[in-house]
Amino acid sequence: MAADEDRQTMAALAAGDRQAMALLIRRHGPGLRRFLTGVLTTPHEAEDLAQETFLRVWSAASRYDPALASPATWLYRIALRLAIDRNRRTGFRRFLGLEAVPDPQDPQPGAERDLAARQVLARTHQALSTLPGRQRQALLLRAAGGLTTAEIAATLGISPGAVEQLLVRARAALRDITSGELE
Amino acid sequence: MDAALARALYAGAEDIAPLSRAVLTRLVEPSKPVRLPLSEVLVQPLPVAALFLFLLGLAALSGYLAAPAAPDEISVIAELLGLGN
Repeated sequence: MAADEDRQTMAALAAGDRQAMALLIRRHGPGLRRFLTGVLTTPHEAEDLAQETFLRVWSAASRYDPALASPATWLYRIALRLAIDRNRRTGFRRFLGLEAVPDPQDPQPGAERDLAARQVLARTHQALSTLPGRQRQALLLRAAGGLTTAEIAATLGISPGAVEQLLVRARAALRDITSGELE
Repeated sequence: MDAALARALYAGAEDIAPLSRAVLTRLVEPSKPVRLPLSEVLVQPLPVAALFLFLLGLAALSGYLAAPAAPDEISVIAELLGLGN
């Protein structure tokens, strides 16, 4: 059902309908942000990269082939490629000593709640960073993006069986690392 | 566990208004030429490195062509060692 709606949205996007873009963002924006937050080595860049992903989708919508992949698979594949590229650049920037200083903490009301959220994010990110790349990507595609096993397999270019194995290992490792905090 | 992980990753992810606004604004704006800062150039060193290697090769070729005909290596080494005439 959602996949059918996505396909209609993609057809509208290819025709240049901006309302379709708003619809796509409403449907996939939250999951995509979460996915990028987990997969990027610099989580604060997730918003920027989510924008970049949707702009790429817009410019390439006419080339989308529904016979090859579901819209969600296509969207997350674009996001994953962008994230891998961004991580590579960030690594090189760190090597050169050019990586930007993290944002200062916000002194506005509500900053305490934000601080708590940031601490949870930092712990989660630290735990995720200990997982092998494929395990982390598969787990985030499922947990953040809500993709099916088949869609994850298509996004990562591996078999559904391999995806299931990655998910089982990733969850077990994460449970050990966080001592059940993420339950 | 998946739900807890998703929640931990981006507390305000459901509020997509800023994301939607930013993307739609960028869609209607004419694309401006991007001037990369020095750091971005250094992060992607391939074009600069290729230019450097090209210039290096050009300099070597010019030097080779401009140099007078050199004596053979044995004579040069012998001369350096003080064994020459």
